[in-house]
Amino acid sequence: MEHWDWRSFWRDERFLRVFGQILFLLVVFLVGRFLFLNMYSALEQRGLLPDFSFLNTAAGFHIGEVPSFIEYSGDSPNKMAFLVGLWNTLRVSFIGILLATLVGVIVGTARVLPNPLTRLLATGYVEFLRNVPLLVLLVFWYRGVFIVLPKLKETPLVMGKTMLPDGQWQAWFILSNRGMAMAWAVPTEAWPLYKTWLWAALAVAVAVYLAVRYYGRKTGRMYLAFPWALLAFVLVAVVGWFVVQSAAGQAPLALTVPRLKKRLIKGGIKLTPEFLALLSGLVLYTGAYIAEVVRAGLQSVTKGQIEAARALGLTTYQMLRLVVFPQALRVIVPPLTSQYLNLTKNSTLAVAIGYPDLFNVAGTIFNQTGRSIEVILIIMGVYLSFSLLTSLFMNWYNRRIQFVER
Amino acid sequence: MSTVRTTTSSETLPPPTERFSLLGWVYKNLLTPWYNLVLTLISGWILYVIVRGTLTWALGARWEVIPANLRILMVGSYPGEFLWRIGAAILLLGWTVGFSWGVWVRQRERVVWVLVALPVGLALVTAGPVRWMWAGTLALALAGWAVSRRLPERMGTVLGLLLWALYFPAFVLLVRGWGVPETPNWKYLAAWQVTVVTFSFVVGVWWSRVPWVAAVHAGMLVASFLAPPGWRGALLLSAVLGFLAWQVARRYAHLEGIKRFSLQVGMAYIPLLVFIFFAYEPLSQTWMAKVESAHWGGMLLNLLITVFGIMFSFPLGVLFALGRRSSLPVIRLFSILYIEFIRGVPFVTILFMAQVMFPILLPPEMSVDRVVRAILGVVLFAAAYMAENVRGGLQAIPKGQYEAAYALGLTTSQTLLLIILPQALRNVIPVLVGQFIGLLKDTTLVTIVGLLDILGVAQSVLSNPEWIGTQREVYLFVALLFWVISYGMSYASRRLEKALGIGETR
Repeated sequence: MEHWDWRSFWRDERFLRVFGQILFLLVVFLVGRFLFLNMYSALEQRGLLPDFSFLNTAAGFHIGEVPSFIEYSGDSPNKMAFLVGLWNTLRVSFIGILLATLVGVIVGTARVLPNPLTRLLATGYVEFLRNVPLLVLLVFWYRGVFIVLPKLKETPLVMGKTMLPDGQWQAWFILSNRGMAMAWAVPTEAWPLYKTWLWAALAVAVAVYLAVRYYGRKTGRMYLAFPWALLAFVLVAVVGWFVVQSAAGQAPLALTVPRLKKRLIKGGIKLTPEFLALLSGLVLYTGAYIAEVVRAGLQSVTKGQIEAARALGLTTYQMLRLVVFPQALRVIVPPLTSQYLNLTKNSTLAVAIGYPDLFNVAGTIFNQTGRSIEVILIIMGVYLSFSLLTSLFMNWYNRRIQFVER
Repeated sequence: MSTVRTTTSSETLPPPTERFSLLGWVYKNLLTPWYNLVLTLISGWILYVIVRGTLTWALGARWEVIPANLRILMVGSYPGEFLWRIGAAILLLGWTVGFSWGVWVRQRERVVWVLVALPVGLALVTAGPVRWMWAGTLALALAGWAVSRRLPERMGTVLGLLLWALYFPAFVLLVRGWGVPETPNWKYLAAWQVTVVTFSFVVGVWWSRVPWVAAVHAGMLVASFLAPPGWRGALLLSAVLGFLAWQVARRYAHLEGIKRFSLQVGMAYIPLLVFIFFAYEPLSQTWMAKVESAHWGGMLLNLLITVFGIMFSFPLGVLFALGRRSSLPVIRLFSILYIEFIRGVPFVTILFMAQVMFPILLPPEMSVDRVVRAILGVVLFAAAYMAENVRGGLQAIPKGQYEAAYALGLTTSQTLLLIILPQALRNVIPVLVGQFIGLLKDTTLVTIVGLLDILGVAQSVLSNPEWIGTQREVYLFVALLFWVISYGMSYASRRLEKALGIGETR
């Protein structure tokens, strides 16, 4: 320890470090106090001091898309409106992530293929989409494509159209300015029974997977554990379908076909133009970014690795499974998760095209109640917890692949 | 390298030269093996469908909506009498880009055609004074290119960086103008500041060993507390600025030629006073009148927000990056909390918060208008991402650099400013350009909080009954505009990356 010289303590670094931090804290505190006092007096004046009881009062507005399992009408409390918004955010994010990954993997792979035409197409896609604002893309899809599609009574785009005896018609697939309708399997009364059966099938599949892997490890031969497990699952599920059908007298899922009834579509699954525009915008945009991530991952596996795998006599499947994918994934997964998170956060742009996601609903509630702090706290809290969960997963995954690697 | 002894005779044949044949290329790349043929067919079909669909639509589209509304799409309700200032900003940009091109892309001469093609194309599709502006931009760009190529490399680099550092404030000043201050006695206040700073500097240079000059500054400091309200701020400011000028002058008083320089400063004093008293007011009321932010619109607003965002988020981001790597726990924790909070929430929520919360958080007399609030939101948001990018650069600096700097006796701030940051920032230039592109694209989100940026203007154009049904034309135009700017920036950044040799093994 150095000698403490009290005469010039302001030149002593040990003193300065502590003093500087205290000073910094003081400044932060004073600025925070200044802002807080302003806020307090402003809110007090308007009679809007933070209070979450507005969550229980009636929302009083209509939401375009409400899931079947949430009871929501204009009289429902605000918290139900938040819940509907949250569900809509999760729905578009989840489907968006699945589709964007699909698009990204296909395009990213196409960018490293030797075929120049495919590469040109993929490169053009990525370079165009990555340099255009997402919001422009979204409004283009919404105003320029989905709501100017032909009306139902005109000539909507249909597939498998059949006329019905009463003069109406039905089709497997209808695309009009009201959105998309598709034939869809709807659960019947036999569904709960079949659902239990599916869980059993899953258990069988896991058992098969573990058994094959154990057997493979023991004998030293490599069996394809995952395809076998999948096969087992499908087998059990198919057998179960017929068992349940004969036991309950009806199939667990029934196909309903959308039909036009008094200018309204009945049956099938319906997707609104807002949802479709948001989904296609998010998928195309994020897909371009994921394609770049995938390409970087694939290119990170050096040629020597592939040549070495070939020299060891691995088959193509073995090479991909044991050499290419583990190394590519280590590069791909971290940026991929941040793209997933970006997609989720970008779904807030739904507000520009009227899809009732969390942010949109929160904005409406704010306009109606004037509760700024509370609304902002709720949305930020939700998105922050998404981010936190993702980064927890990331840390866990990173540790795991690092452990496998070395 | 030593010569390699080969076992074969010296008369080995050269490798067979491969003659390029189109048919051979097509056969090898497109037709074999069978899955390649399948890919070719699929891709060809997709390309055909896209190109045919686009062409059929584009030939029948109502493109007249774009020229009819071009001005409001570009500049919103910016007053017509001051449009020349935007033109001047573009001319300056031409010079700056041309100059940088000459400095950093000097190896390959033919790429200059890229620089030429854009203004020529723009001059061809425009008319009237705008065409002359593009022609002038081209001329200035080529002039800048020609000048900078003849400069010594180091000088060119410094001047290029300086030009860019000055370009952004110049752009803002040109677009915004400045107007006359509202305080009635502003002329006297300004003259006072100039007087104090000039004399402090001159005195510091000539009598650098006289310490009691500080007493004058201290006197002004005391006076600032006693003075009437209208003078308080000005006195305080002059005390601080004067003291700083004096200190700088004392510190560099030993330099060769500084006395002559101080005389030049002294001689500039009189013209400056004349300018303040007689020229400033007419100039700023006529040519440089302030254009209120409510009149900033269209693409101009997007660019302005981007420029403000870059200017302010860059230093802030560097500070947060340093803070996150600081050894002081309080500062580190604060930086981490800030960065992770901002990065964890969507940009729209930050913009929304800026619009809603700033009026509540600040006292009524400090209220700021909608555009400024949006800019503040952008700066706060971009700073967190900037911090993470800069941190990436900081982490790549080996520890030996710090140790070497300390061993040479540099202080912490000297180490950071002279050794670490220059290397770290140079390494992250491509990433930062990528972030600026992202920032430009993100500025379209201000339309959600009700500002009239290019998307907001597009929306109002489309609600005009005359232009109903032209959504695709308008939005495609907006998309292409962004595409050209973003792609141009990323192209330039890739060239710069190559020119600076970033990512190459050293």
